[in-house]
Amino acid sequence: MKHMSHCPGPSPLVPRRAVLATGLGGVLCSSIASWQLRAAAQDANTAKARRGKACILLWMNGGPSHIDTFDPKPGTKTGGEFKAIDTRIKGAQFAEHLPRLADQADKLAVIRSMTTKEGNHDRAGYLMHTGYAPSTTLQHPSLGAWVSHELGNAAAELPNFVSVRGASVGAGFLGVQHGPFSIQKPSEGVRNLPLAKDVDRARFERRLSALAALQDDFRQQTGRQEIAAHDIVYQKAVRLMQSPLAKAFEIKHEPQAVQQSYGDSDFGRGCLMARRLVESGVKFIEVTLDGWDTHVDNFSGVRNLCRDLDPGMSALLGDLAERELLDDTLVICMGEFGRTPAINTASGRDHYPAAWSAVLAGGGTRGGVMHGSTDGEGGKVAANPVTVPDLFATIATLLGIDPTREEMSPVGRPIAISDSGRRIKELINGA
Amino acid sequence: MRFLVATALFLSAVAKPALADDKLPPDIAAAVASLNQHFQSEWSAKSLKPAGPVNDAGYLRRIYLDLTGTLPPPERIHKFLNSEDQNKRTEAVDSLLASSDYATRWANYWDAVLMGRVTESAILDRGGFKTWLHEQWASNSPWDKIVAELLTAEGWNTNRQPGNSNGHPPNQAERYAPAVNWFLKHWQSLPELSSSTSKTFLGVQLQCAQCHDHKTEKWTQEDYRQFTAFFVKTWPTYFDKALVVGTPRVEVTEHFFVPPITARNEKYLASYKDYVKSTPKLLSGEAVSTWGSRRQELARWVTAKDNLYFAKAFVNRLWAVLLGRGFVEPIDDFRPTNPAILPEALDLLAADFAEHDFDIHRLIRIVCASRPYQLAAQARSASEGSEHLAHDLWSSYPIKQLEVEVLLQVVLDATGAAETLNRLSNKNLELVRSAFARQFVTQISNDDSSETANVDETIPRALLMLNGPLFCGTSRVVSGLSLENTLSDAATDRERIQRLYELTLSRQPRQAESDRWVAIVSAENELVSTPGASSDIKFSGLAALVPSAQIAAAPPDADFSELLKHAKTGVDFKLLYSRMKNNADAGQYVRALREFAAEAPFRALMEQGAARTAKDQAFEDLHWALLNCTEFLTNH
Repeated sequence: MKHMSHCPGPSPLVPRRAVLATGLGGVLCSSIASWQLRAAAQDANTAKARRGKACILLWMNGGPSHIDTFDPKPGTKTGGEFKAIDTRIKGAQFAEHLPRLADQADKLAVIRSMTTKEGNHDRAGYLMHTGYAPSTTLQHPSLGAWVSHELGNAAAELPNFVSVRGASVGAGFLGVQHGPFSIQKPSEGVRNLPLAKDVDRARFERRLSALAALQDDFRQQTGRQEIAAHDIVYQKAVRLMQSPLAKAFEIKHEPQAVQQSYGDSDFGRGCLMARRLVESGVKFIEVTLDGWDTHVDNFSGVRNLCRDLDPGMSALLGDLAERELLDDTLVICMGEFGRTPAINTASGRDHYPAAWSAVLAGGGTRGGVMHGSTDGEGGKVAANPVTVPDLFATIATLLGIDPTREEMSPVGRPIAISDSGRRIKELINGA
Repeated sequence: MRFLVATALFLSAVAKPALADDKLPPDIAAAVASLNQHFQSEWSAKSLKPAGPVNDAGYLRRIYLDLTGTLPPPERIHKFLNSEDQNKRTEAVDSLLASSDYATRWANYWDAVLMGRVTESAILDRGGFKTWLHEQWASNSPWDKIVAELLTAEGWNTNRQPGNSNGHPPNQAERYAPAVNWFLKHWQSLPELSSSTSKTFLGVQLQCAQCHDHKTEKWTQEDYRQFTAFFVKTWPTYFDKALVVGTPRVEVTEHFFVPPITARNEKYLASYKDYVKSTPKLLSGEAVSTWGSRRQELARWVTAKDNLYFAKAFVNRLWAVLLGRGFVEPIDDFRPTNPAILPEALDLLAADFAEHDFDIHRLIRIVCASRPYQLAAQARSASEGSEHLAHDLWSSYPIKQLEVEVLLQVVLDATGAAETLNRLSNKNLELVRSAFARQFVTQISNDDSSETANVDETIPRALLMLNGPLFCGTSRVVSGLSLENTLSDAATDRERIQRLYELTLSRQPRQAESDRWVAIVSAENELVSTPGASSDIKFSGLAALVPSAQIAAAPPDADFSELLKHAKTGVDFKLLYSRMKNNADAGQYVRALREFAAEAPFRALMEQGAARTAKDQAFEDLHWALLNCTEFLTNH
């Protein structure tokens, strides 16, 4: 059983009963609670000073059409029905439904030459989350788990890795303590955090002491120490219920105008939550925008999705920059692959891993860069192909993680965040 | 102290004859005896003192959870405890093996292992596959037959017709072969088929050889390529075109030739390319006849009685499920550098399994009658000088986490909520179950593996159990739930407490426990009542009657994904069902419906009824605490 190493568990010097009373029933007792509130508030104040780097992954689930977003091919056979618009980068254009991002293009590094081999959603999603193709031997850690492992604070009240609106890839062999903490609906905040109907604090405390007594009975009956693991996790959950930092999950505290700037969508609300979480010291946040699997009616699909993507991502970048957080926060926008240049009979585009686009911003990314290119039809990489290991080495370098440092996996094979890739200097400020 | 140890030794010596193996057929009894003897001598050699025997109530709960994924009903507990029959444990195992719950539990288990809980692919008929699994376990199909069918099945993936489709394949009914869904899960990546075959059925990890030759292990990249070549003559063809709603009909066929890879089909058959030129060769090094079916040659070799890995892999997995840890761990990683603990015990069971035609019932009977399975879940005492041993060689029974499907089932058993939830979900409890399992593994525990016995608990899981509708809803005094029946049927608090213990912990409370709760439920507290639910959305369960305004008023050409955002009741989903135009819509629909089904019925429970007195609330609190405690949430 994997243990959270910073939690020592009950001390053998303290009578069991007393430990348990503090562990569950006593955790809500007022003196401890107010002490915790103070400590947490101090934490929040000093957090800014020692925040370090963080990362936000905007995950475009389903595989966005690169030609209809960041790599338009207007007027060609495969270009489709969208016009292209100018951006803040001279000579570079986006498709017409990303006007606000075009206006922030000076912050972006757009990679137009991603090239991969996986064309199935599950496999490609795994590849782009972990940097490795799936294997039946080994569960690779996702990027968020690596960041939690390398940059996270194990004792933090908030989780180090939060995933908003979607099932992310987990922590693999790094262990569930580095796995994503899932938020299903950003407007709801953390699910099951408030007390249940007809339960007030006093009643909740009675429930916890009843539970503590049952735990104690079972411990006495069996003498098994591993029962403490259950108590420790419950204790942490109760701590989160009380933590003032948990407000970071509640976007309702933001002014109306701010909320509106992110767009009226769950994706936009997720981006806003991501910004609040970065401010509270969370290291990795993934926000999913689902629906890019446009085999049918690609153009209306992409138009609708851009209505969510454009305000959400551009408000996030603007907000981070305004708060002087952008230099320390890497924002990545990508999906599992691109889509075919050919338009099928259902006005759709199909899966296409051979050539597609990914976008980086902030965290030391060199802004205003178009890296690599595709040919006239968007079907082949024409210059500077970027592989997954190279992308992951670049991301790691930007976050201050050594891309070559290996962790030993349970099958005895050492694994690094990048599978022997090389960072792309052109995308990194000052490199 | 010395006196205590002596007493304990004396007790365990006396207890031994009480292990009920009297009614076992003589040859099963012989297998159990030699297994027990082996454990006994290993324990003695390592100076391990085994825990005492598990008591009757503990044994009954254990076999119910392990064999059927359910809890024993209180009436069954009474009958079992009152029975003086020496053979009652053996009989209980036999009757569970014959129950439909047994087939359900193992169909769930194998569905998760073979197909994954979160796998999504339009071409898979997951329901058809699970029904097939259920039939295999209900009829106690021998393991070699089951595996051979998975490896060689040919025919249609489904016996249904998707929406918007035209016509039927003429032979859909007679060529329906649900086992092909396993092939279809993997076929887009051919190496996955060979690596899953070796991992799941032989406990051997070949994947490392996929990319590089390993210095110390036996198999090379070339071996791997040749092993994969067994699947290269088999591929599916589609009957239905795009734009159908539901599972398109796909036929899996093994051909006499390798697929001609053309520019048109390259996208689908990309992973075949590397293997079309390889000659199939078994992992044992034998070449096979190139005339017949390659997959049948493969199946013959995999499931052969003299293929030691085949029996061992299954025995090891079953042992891990029933006794917490396999002889080999990880359970599917047999290799010379990862030796088994107690290899003779594993060999003994594997030899028996193969000798008796891979009879799964027999294997379970042997394990459930064995000494390690009949020990109590007690920690070794610290005074024995054997603390340096990392492994206790099963000298006490482990504390095992429940698989997610079992967890939900035991909550339903302990609270009597199945019927109410079935009503609230418009008789769709199965959907609620699968939606719950999926949400739980992806969002709550972040772990899709079904095989780990000790899953780490997470904070979202703790929050769900502390405040979520799963426990807070099912432990309310609501008409139809167990708690309400308990309060009205039993005459005294003591009887009520006993009933709640039986429902949740499958045992009777000890005197001190009973005394404590009698005092607690009699304490004077205020009745607690908070207005409304914390969320402003009124969940009305799947069975609500009135559609949301946006959906009722939507024009026929309204954007489907926009409409889906407004779906908040069961009737909304019903209306939207008829608006799906293609599989992209269907995919979004299924995701939204699952999200809804995993929560809404439980939330509806939480909003129904309420305790009317502070004392009723105290009973709710006790029931809630019983559901949250480790003794309930584990098998031990």
